[in-house]
Amino acid sequence: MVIRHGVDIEAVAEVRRLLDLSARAKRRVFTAREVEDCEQTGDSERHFAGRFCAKEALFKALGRGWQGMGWTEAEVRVDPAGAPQLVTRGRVKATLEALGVRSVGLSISHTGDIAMASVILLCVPGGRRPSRPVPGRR
Amino acid sequence: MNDVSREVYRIVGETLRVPPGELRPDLPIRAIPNAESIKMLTVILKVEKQFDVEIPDEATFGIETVGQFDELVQMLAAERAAANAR
Repeated sequence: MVIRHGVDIEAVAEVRRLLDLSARAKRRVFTAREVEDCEQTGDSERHFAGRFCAKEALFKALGRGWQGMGWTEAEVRVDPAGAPQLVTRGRVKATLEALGVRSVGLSISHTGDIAMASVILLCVPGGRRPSRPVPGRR
Repeated sequence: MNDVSREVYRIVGETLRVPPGELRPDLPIRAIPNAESIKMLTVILKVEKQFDVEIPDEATFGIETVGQFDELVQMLAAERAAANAR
C-alpha cells in the first residue's frame, strides 16, 4: 500500500470571517447536509472550521491546493459512534479512484480558537498523481 | 488597466497583503506567502460579491498568476454585464 497524507490547521475566527463574507459563502464551501449538521450543534463555528480543515487536508493528500477541486464534492459526516468520515463525489471521488485509494482516514481536532484535521489515504501501488482534475461527474 | 482589473488587484493585494508595487500580472500566486487556500477562497468570495459573478471551482484550475486570475474575472464580469444588458 502507498500512504498519502494531508493536514490542515486553521483559526476558527478566520473560517468565520470567510463564511461571513457573503450570503452564499457557506454553500460555496459546505454541502447542505454539512450546514445543517454544523448549525444544529451548540458551537457551529468550530464545527465549520473542523470540516474546512478536513476538506483542505484531503486536497493536500491528493497533492492539490485550492485550485480545481470542488469544496462541496467532499462532505464530512459523523458516524453513530461520533467518528468523522469523508464522503466524496464528482471530481474528488474520481481523483481518489484514479489514485487507487482504498481507504480514507480522517481525524479532526479543536482547541481554543484552533481547528485541525489530518487525512490519510491508503492507495494501491501504481496509483498516479493526476496532472489535472478528472473530468466532472457531478 | 480597466476598472475591473483595478478592483481585482485591490482585492488581491488587500486580502493577501501584497504591497501594490509588487502586484504584477506575471506574479505567480504560489509565490505569495499568504496565498493559502482560505485566503484564496476569501479573494474569490470578495470578487464574486463585488462583480455579482460566480467563479466555478473548476475554472480555477490552471490559474497560475495574478494576471490569469484577473483575466478570468474580467471574462465573467463581461458575461454578467452582457446578461444584464439583455
